[in-house]
Amino acid sequence: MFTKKNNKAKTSDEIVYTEKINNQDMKLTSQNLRNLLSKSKDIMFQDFYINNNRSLKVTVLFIDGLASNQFISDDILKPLVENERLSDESINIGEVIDFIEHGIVYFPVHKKRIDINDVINDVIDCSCALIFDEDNTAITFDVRSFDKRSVTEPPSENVIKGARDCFVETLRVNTATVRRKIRTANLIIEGTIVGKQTLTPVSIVYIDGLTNPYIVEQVKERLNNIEVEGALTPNAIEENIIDNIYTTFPQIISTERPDRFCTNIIEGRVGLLIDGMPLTYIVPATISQFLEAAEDYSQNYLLNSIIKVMRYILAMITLWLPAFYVAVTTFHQEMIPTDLALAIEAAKENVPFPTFIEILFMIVAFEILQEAGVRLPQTIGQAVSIVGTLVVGQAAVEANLISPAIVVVTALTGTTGFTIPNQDFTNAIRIWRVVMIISASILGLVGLSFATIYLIYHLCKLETYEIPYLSPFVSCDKYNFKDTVFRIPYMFNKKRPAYLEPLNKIRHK
Amino acid sequence: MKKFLVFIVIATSFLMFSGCDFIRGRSEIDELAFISTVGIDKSHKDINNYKMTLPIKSLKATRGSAQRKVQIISEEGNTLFEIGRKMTTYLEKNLFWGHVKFIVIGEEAAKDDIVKVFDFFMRNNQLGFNMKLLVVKDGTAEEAISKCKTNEYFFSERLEGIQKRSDRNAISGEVELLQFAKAADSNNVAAYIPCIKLVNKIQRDTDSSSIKDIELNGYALFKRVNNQFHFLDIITDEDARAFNFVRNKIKSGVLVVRNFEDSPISLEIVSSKTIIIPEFKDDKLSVLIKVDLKSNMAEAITKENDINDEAYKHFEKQQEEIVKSQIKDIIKLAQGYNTDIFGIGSIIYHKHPVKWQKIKGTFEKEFENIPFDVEVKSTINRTYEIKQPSGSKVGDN
Repeated sequence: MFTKKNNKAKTSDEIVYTEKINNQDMKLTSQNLRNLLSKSKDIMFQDFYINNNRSLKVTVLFIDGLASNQFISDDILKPLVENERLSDESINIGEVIDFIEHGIVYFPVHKKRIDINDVINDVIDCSCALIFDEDNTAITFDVRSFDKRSVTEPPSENVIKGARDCFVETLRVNTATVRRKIRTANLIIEGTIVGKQTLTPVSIVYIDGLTNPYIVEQVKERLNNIEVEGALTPNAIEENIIDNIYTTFPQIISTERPDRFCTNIIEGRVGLLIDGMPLTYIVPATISQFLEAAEDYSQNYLLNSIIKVMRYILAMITLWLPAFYVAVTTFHQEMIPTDLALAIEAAKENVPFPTFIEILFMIVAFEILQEAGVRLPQTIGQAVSIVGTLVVGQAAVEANLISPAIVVVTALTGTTGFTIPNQDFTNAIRIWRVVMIISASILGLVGLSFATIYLIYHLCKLETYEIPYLSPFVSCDKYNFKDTVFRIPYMFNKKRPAYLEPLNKIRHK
Repeated sequence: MKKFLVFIVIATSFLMFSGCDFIRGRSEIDELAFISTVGIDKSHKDINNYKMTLPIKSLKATRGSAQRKVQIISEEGNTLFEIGRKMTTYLEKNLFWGHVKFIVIGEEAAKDDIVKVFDFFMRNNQLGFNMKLLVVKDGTAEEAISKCKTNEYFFSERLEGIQKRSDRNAISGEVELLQFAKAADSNNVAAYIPCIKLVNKIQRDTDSSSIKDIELNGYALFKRVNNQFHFLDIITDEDARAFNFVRNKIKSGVLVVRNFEDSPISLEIVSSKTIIIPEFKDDKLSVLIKVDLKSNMAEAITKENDINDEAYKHFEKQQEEIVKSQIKDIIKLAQGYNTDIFGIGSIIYHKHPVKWQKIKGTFEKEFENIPFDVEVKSTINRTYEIKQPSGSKVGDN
């Protein structure tokens, strides 16, 4: 009812770069740049004479803090001042530029710019620019140097066995990390820019000749059509590239583990690296991936298969248990064994509220505690959980506000919820859990069935990049099934998921 | 936006509805009175009326421990449904039939067309067809329910335990309502219900006369004649076991044989399989009952060092004779009542459907003239840990 395709695919040739500062008519001179940029204190302009020759004036432009002073002075300015070949009096600017382009400065990469916009963009992107007013030309060098976080252990996806590195906030470090893991030359890291004001660089990672080109094209198109001011929060990009925003279910996998990211890339998915975020995205996501943990492929496959199956069962428990309890205790009392029914009855005897209100109260209390625990610093967080357990658990029971069975049900629901590896998916289930409880309280198991049917209908309708969200459960392909609910040994896992339609379907012989 | 508003309205109204009482079939668990046994008797005042006895279970949870409690209520009326509704006039909770496990019927009520009382249980939508049926021999259901509860166990729990172990002696069994209903609706099968008897067996410190024990023994047999359900007889002990033998319901049991010195030897039945083979010779029906019986030697009250192959043969022979004669006795009983209590009619129907059509009409009348033959294949497998009795070897040291 509330689902609509996020159909924003506009066919325009304009690319995002032109949405930046647009001074098409301005000439590339140092004076023009000064007019545009000199309001900021951290943007540095410095005039130099090449080899003390007053006729060869060059302006150095860089942003203090982003560019390395040492690179600029030692590798760019020093050769310009000291090189003997430039000491010839008759040399002109054109020749100087030619010399610089061909190795007179000790710097591997440079870009020759004749458009003022390009220069500004390069400078903002940590470059240092040498501006030659006479020729209206600039040469930019990437001299980036700023403080970046070192690679640490992934804080939220920890493993005992396996790689311990983690993505950081710096895009270049992340691309390097990916390159070091996937050394094939076919690994493509394309770039684009997102955000009207923040101009955040985003890299699209895929393997040429393997990844389904349709998905790559779609990702590029959607990224280019994003209309946001800033890509500072994860969802600024996430919400713009998913298919269906009228749903609670996550349609994109985020991970901070390079090994997981790379595993997905070589499986035929497309990765996104966003500057300023230690999170990376993988598209397209299917429901089975949210029930996969980081450590799934580093333990014995039989043990893992059991754990994976259990995870599916636990996800169902956390979704249905409170609703089932409400349905059974208010509608279908014959389903409870007599002794248990008597125990529940005895415990509920003095509680004035209906079971539905009790369970809603406890679920809300649980959410409050969880929310409080997440936001607080770790030391206070523990205190909250202790107080929460004591107050909500024991005191509420003793005050006859709720019956003890409800505490057990809520605790079980909460703990089973924590076994789902993906927090986004847990949150989706949290919302549906309440829907289930309400339906069960109106019509019992019939209501619960209706809600479940609607949930399944909703999930069946979801698609990410034209791939059914419920893949591979909705397909008849038995091969994909093997490595979804269970984990099969690597040597038997010979094919890539067929629903991704990769160009190369075979992993290995 | 409009859709969103509609959604909000629906969502909130759902939230409101869930507290409402108008939804049929909905009731909080603490408003229910749980019954696990229903006792049915004939009313003493009016012979056409019934008397229903219900033990209502509850737990009183006090700090740390829960105390079990049972209230027993009896009421009389024309129908069981009427009695149930009458009870609600003085009960603070609603009667909940969903947990009924046993229907206990007093002997008097059992003798008066027993099927009539089951209508209520079959019609009620809260109930399944898996309640177990029992007849109280020489007593009333009310007496059984009120006298057989102890502080630790309710009547139904004691009964459950006893019935679960009924195969230890194989002199009784379990009959569910569905099984009885099927038998009652079919032309050829007589119905049977296990019997309990109130006895004083277990010694108690407190006043023992008020608490009685249940003994599960035998079956009550019923026969259908022209839509009337007649009570035939109650068979107990050996007869009941032979009945179980013929119906292939034996899982275990004890048979006592004698050795050459006339000392008793106990044999434990470990497996028994019975096949009933109807045979037609020149359109003359005869029935062969084949029993394949295997047992182990469980005990020997003897000092003789004589457990050998010869003794085995001796015991096997005796075992065969015992079972054979007991089965013949029960057949004689059935033929005396002219009733096919073993369900042989349906076996003939399944094996010889064409011939059954011919004899169908006269089968009931001719039942007493059908020649029965019993074959017992008796085997003794082993003697457990020791072969010869302890103390039988003398003089070795």
